[in-house]
Amino acid sequence: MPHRPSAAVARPNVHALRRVVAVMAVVASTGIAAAPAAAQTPDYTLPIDEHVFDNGLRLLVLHRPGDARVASKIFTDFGAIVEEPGELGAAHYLEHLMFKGTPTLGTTDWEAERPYIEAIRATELELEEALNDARNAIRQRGVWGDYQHATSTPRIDSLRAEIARLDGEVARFRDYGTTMRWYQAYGGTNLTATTEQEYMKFDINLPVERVELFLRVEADRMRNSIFREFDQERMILVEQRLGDLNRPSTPYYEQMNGLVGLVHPVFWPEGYMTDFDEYSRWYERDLYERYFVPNNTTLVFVGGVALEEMVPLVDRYFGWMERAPEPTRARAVEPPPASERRLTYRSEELAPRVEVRHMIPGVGHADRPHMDVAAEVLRMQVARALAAANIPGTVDVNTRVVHTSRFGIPGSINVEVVTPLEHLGAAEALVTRVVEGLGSAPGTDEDLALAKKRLRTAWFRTVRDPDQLAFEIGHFETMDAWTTLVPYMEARETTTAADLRRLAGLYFVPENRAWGVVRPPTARPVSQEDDR
Amino acid sequence: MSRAVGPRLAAAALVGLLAGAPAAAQVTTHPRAMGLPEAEAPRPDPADHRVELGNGLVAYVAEDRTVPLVTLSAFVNAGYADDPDGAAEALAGAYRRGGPAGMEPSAFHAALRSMAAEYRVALGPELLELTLDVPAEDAAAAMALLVRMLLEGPAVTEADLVAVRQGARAAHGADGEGPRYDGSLDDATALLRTHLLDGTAYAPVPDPDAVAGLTLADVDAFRRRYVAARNVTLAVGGDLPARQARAALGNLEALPTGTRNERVRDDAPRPRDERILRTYPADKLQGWLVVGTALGPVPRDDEAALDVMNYILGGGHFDTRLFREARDKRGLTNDASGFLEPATYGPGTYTFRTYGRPEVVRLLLHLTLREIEAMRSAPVGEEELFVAKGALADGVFAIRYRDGWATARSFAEEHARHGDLSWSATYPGRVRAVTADDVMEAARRYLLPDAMTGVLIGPLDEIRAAPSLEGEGALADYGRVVPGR
Repeated sequence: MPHRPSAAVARPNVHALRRVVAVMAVVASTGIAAAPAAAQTPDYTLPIDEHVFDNGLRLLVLHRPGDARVASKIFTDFGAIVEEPGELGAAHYLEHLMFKGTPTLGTTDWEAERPYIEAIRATELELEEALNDARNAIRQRGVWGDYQHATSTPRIDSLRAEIARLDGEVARFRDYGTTMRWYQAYGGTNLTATTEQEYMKFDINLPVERVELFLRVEADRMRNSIFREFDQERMILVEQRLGDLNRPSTPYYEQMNGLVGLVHPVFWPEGYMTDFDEYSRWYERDLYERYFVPNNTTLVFVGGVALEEMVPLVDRYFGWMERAPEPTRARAVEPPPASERRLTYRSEELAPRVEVRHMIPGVGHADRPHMDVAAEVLRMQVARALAAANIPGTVDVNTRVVHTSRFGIPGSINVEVVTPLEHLGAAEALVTRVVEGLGSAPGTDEDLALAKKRLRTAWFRTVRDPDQLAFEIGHFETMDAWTTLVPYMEARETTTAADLRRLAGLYFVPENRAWGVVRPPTARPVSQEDDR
Repeated sequence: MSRAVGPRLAAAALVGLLAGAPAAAQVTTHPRAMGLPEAEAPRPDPADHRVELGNGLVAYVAEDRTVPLVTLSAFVNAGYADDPDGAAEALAGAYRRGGPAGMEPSAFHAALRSMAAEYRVALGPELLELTLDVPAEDAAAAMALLVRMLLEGPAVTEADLVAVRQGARAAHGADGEGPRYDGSLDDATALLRTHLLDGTAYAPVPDPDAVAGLTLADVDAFRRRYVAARNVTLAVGGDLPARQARAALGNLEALPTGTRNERVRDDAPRPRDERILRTYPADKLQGWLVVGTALGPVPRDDEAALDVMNYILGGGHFDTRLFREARDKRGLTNDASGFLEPATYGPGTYTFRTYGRPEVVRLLLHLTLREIEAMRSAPVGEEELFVAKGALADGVFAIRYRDGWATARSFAEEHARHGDLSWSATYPGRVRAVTADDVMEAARRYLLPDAMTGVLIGPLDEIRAAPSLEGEGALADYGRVVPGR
């Protein structure tokens, strides 16, 4: 059991991080020491310890002596990019199903429940066969989804009814909520789970004395999940999707994602309503059994535990698992972009805007850290240019695709200006000029210094929060390797104006460009480009 | 990459070798049988952090050198309930718009940008908070800004007054268009809070007629009355030597001493004698439902039992009665939760919030009221009690002191709100002492299903026309329906 060393709130300086640039004149009377005049290189060091078990399970610990709590996360190298078309959202759905308990958590009588679970599996295989038999009757034929010979058959209906009946039997033995309940009972906070394109993770923040509970629950969840309340949970995804669709920007951004990439599933949405109907237990079980294996899993702890304490504990709960065949990786390769693309999105609800996206490299590529700096500089320079041109509006520059801003595969950098309809054409010309001239504008050195400071400060805010830091460690491990996290942050400090010019010349070129214009359906085109 | 190696990894390697023995069987001991130890008491000694200036201003300082950041917060013990005519809103708006009175707003925001600062102004019914989070290299400049903001106040202009008046008129629908809202849980909650607290000083938006006469002199008087040493508490947390932080605070000796804002406790409006459901149409794919009541200040003797009761019923997490019934068992909604939001000296609210596709909204209403009634009519189980007490004492309460930043902030906010730290000194013990009988008594005292008001935003025709799924009734079966627009 990890012990908590006694210590006051003030802790040893784990990261002796120091300042770089003095920005404001310090008011002498504050009594706070003035910042040193000479710039120093900030220290991004993170004392992460690693242990890899014989079965391939990776354990990463960042010990903060004296912390009363520990941020605990389990990452699986698995996400939406392994989904098949027609089953989009299945990875996210699997995460939901992994909250439905195991034979030892979530049931009042597993031995009595088990026959029904097995009967559901068998019936679902029959259903799959029936769906295949009826494929000509139920396949999509019409462009608008308006024509099918049939939506079901008597046999399909009968099998679905039987599964529903069996689900009702399972419910008789159900003890709901148990995968969360014990975390809560023992002081767990920040209980979340997330599935994005390249990872799934479960998180909890626990009192340090109780970190063993995390291992108990997560080892069980990883290998013994029972997919109860399958159809009820399917409707939760429907609810989440409806929530997304209530925002008028959702369909537009999904169209833009699809415009940037041709083949890579990183650009696909989280699932359409038609996908939700297709999920099946056997498909989810197949994903679960292939990917949730120790040699595809990383445990991350940040807080009051040390590696030497955690190794035997982790071994106790995960050591029995055997190394499995390496899971299949997403093999999609996005072809080099070859043409400028343009999307006109007509909407009454969404404010008019113009947006340009360029595909950028993923984490692990030497240019990716500099793109973070480029995004900051672009935000400042586009805003300044808009003000100078008297174009009203707001600027957003981000690297987001669906919900995530960094990938180990290509993503995009997105520059968006929301402005009244009559300014769209001018805004588009202005954005083009700033993007193509990145690194050459007057004041770039000052912008670079401020951009780096903003990024550095944001990173320290991440480090300050053990939960956020544990996420970044695990995220880098799934995108590339945890060892590249610190070099990534350090590389951002080295970006120069010449780097920005090089990025602009290499990536911000017409053949790698996707434009989006949003305007009301009835509005006339406002630029020569607008309806082309 | 510099990594800690040496003895630590050597020890790990040894353990790893030992771990190479034949794998043991899977361990699936029930969590309650694991023998998990008690968590250590999380609350540090406040005396280690407290600083008091000669003028009576109290600050809590916690040095935490994990990263080179410093967070400065000032909590003013006054909020919008202390001036229903809108002076607090105007003051907060001016602080957001600009910095100290003697500084151009553009210069203030340029300074914030150059510091990569996060700047937050939050106004509640009883508290105004100013927070600056900056790199340690800018701590001196940030502290100087905060001191000036407290000493000089912001430059309040007519534009700030106009903004308050316009906000009040829009929220109350005083322009003849009815209240503005969108299809969202936040807007449904805001509408309900307005209905529940309307006519009290704690109404979240001031009355348009009251703010019509607001003057710059009113705002200045509000600031001079409440931004005073004995009514402001500071938090300083982060990579700043405590000695330097204490020295920097000396600049606030110039803040007038003033007096603490001592309030008389006001009870909630008298409960209604009927249930009302206010409906607002919205052309959306879901409906948003919030039901609740106004809630007077909760006596400390009742507080822990009420918190435990709310945790079991719907306390904003994944294993509540409402969550299990609405989400786990039926798949009706992504969330169904209870929000206990009392004020310290006047009325707050206790609300239940959920949303879902049109065909399930009436069932969500039915289940919410059914579970509320069940909480009043039967004692909670031993396991429910065990879970809730552990979660509140070892989780929700403990994370208030999870690091130096949180510690300084928690102490300062509590001191500003209550005038002392007796609340946190006793809270975990009070929670652990709660019994099932206490919970049921709290439910009967504070859950008033027959006096609740509901707000429903959504595609009302679809919601009304949906067939009954489990015998739930029409909207009118759950209260008097009042069209909101």
